[in-house]
Amino acid sequence: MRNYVLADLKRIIKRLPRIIVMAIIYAALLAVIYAAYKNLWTSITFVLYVEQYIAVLTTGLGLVELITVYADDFKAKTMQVAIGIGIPRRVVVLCKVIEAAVLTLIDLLLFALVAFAAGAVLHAGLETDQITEILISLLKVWLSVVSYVNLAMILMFFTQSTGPGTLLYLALSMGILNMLVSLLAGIEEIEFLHLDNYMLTTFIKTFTTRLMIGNFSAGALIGILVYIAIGYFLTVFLFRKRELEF
Amino acid sequence: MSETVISLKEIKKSYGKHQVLNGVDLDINKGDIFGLVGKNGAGKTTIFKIILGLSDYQSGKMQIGETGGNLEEGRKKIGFFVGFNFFPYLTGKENLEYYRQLKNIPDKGEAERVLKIVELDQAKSPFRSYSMGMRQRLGIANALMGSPEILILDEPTNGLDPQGIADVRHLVQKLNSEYGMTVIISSHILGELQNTAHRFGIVNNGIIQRVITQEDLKEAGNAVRIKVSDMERARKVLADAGIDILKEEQETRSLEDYYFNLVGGEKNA
Repeated sequence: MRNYVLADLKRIIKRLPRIIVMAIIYAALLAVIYAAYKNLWTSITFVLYVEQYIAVLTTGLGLVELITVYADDFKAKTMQVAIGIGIPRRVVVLCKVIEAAVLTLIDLLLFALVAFAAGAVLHAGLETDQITEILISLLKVWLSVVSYVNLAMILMFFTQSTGPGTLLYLALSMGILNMLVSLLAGIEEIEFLHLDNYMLTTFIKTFTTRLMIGNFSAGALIGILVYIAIGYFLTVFLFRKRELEF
Repeated sequence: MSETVISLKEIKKSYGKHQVLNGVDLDINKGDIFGLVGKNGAGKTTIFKIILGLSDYQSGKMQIGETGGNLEEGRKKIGFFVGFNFFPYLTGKENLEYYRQLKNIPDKGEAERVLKIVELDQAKSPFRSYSMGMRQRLGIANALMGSPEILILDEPTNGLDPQGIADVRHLVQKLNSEYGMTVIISSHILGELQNTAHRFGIVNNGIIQRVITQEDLKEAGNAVRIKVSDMERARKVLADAGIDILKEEQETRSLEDYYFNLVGGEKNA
């Protein structure tokens, strides 16, 4: 498993279109910080502008991971080789989960590095609380990307293409699915179930908001992990007997 | 008795109502070059897919090596070329490096070694720019990575020119004789397969209808070829006339003839 993950990570990190897209994302971050600098330069403005940018990061970053981790693989059918040389299908799926999580983490750490370096150069004067706030927002993006990608993976592995999974990812990251469930939750007959409380976005929001005030919500974390586990096990279940083409 | 490295017993597989494999029995022996012969849709590819774990089967038993039914463990002994599973933007060598790491092969010179075996010397350009022949060679090179005990080659000569076809034949024979690799190979070019393999499994209607050897082909070719229209009369006439027959050449039937005689159809169809 370690070799599979490392081989893929090496290949993906060196992928030129990915490097260009990530460079654009970081350049846009610098532009946002510069806009804040030109507006009213305080640490509060810095945090406000960076947080606004982070809010749209889930969709953009997730799409990058979907394409680089999954699309190339489905197209080249390299996972068929992995299975053919004896790597169990459940391990193949797990490798993809790990790759998406690691790559997103690397991207977000670089994002933090760029943001804080720019803040330091421009003397933003960030306080510890503000640094923590930005880091927790990035953690929220990481949890969102990892869990949404995991759910999108169910469709991708089943259809062996990224199209349907990407649509599901967009519906999740842009809050469309969330909105639908909220509407359903409002129906009188099922209102008592309080479906809103069990939604993935609620768990992520609760977990990160609590962290922001110094509390650790084990319940919310378990909720997130359950969603990630559902994504993984359902993918393995649907993929385990899926016919694969050469 | 030869050691069986892959064994399929009564393997059945269907897609919905369409039965593709009707109880395939197949034993591949260590050191074999086994040719799998059959028309399109006969089930050859499905057999390969099942061996490689890319397709499930409804009933039957399969064993790879002496791994006690642990197929995933058994598959570690197999190298295969069944399609072009390469990233188009990576060079041939980078693709092999990717697989070297995936297959956990510690020797960093392995990609170079297999590229030399298949005589692919332009592995530094992206895979997408490769000709069909280069792709085939790279595919075979990938199958050879890590010197597997068993080699599966699905139509490895597709799209190759006569020289390329001959090269693949020599390569397969060399891998078998020098490195002791067991090879399972399928090809539509029956004449070529006849020159390469030791045994042949004829796949028809979802079963291995018959397994034959090179010897069977020779025995089956019991016709005597003389350049006359009526042999008996010719012999009689020749004998009566006091003319000796200097040469009667025994004809060996080709695999192609044997195949079409068994399953029907026409050579030129």
